[in-house]
Amino acid sequence: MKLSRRSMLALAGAGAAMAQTPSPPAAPANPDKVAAAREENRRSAENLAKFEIPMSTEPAFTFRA
Amino acid sequence: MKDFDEQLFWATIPELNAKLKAREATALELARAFGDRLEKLGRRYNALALPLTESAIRKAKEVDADLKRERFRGPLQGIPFGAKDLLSVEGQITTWGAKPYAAQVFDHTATVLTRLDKLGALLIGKLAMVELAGGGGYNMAGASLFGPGLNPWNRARWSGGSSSGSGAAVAAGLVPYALGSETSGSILTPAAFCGVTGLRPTYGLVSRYGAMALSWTMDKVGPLARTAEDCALVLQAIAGKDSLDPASAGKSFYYVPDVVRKFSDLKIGFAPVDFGERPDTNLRPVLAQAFETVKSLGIPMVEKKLPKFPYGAMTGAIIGAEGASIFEALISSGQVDQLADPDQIAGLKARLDMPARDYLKAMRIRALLQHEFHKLFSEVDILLAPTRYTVAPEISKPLDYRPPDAPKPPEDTGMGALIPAGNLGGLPAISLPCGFADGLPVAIQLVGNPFSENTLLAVGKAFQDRTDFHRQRPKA
Repeated sequence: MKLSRRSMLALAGAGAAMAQTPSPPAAPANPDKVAAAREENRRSAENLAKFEIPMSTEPAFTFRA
Repeated sequence: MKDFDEQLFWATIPELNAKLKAREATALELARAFGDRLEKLGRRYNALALPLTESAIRKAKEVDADLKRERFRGPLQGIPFGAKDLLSVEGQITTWGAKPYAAQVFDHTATVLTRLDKLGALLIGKLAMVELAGGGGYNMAGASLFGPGLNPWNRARWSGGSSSGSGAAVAAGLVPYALGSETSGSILTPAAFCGVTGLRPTYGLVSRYGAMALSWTMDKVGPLARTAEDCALVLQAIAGKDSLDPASAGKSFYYVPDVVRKFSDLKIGFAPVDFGERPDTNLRPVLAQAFETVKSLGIPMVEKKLPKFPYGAMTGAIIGAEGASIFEALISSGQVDQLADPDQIAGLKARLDMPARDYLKAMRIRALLQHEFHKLFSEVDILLAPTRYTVAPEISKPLDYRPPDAPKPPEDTGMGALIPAGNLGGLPAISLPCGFADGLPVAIQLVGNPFSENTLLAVGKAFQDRTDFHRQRPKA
């Protein structure tokens, strides 16, 4: 992305602001956690599958409040 | 700089507006006073993402010139505010609270911020948030580029998420009001934990153009402020049709509390267990008292149950599938590993593989849910429940931590799923501070039919006319 002079100044300012904030610890990728998250998705899918709906029910694609 | 009374930092919007009109303060003085305070104390609560005091000061000078010429632009003119760091400001950093986006700069400004700017409101800073608004499913308070959101009532406690900085900044008197966003609980939760008033607008009432997308069909932008009336004034300014937002409902909002139906003609639905054995023990007396106060407003109250739906599975599938699609490049590139919370990383990775049938099933059930809520709101006008059933959790523990000796929750879950249910239904809600337990704020929520914000705000104002919890402020 091409940065304007204004953007560059903003970047410099924000860098200073963030330097004063403690950085969160680096989070290593964890295959066990991904497997656990997949298992949670699978359980959710089972819950959804159990819920019976009429065949004619269309998804709330055109979402109207 | 003028030395303002400390009380100024907890003034409501009409009170600040009156000071400006009476020339007891100028917009420039307010911008400097709040801007300095936000810069000085914002990091104490990990609430500040980016100070914008300099641009606010430039704007304040224009506003003062307008005020001098009696060019009035409404109640927000000359009043400082903060915005969650998922709202873009042209040429400024917008991090979405996440390390991979720490240097992100947009060439456009969010519609809500443009609208406030036109009315003379002064944006003094971007406020911290949970990374990517928690879209991957987070379980630690520290799931943010800015560190854990610290609660002004007790810094060992969380300020809530995902609008963490918005809740903390209002509670600590760093801004008179802030903009937050909610996909499923991100305005109501920080409002409740921080003891401020939060309003989640009806889906589509407020433009999301320029806001980070997490879920196209569930994202909403709304205010956190001192009072229901303050929320109303902000909503009036930011609501309305926007051709840049495909989900815009094309409706405006005008705050007209006096034309709401008589309270005796309204009906509130509630579940007794929510004000009995469902909340944590320490919250029960506070919530019972709040229930009595609502009752004293003269609105008939009837027992109701939430329609039975798999709310958790539905929000998980919808936010999961839409969020994973939105952040596909982040996940596929491996940059997702830079996020702070391992649960978020894992959640986003796993959700990228979600089958279409799960998303579609959730969306089909959602159509039935909307129908059921339509029926429910033909019987009652408002649903009442605690906003949260616990006080703000400790930042040192996982967010889902429950002490081993915690009593088993009752089988009757009451309206415990009202936050996901209300968000799935696109329903408006307001969270009102209603007391304290162990020195931490407790709140109730009112949920209404789509576009019934005036009713919720009128009841919220009446509740706040009878209580002073929204006027309490943290000692620090």
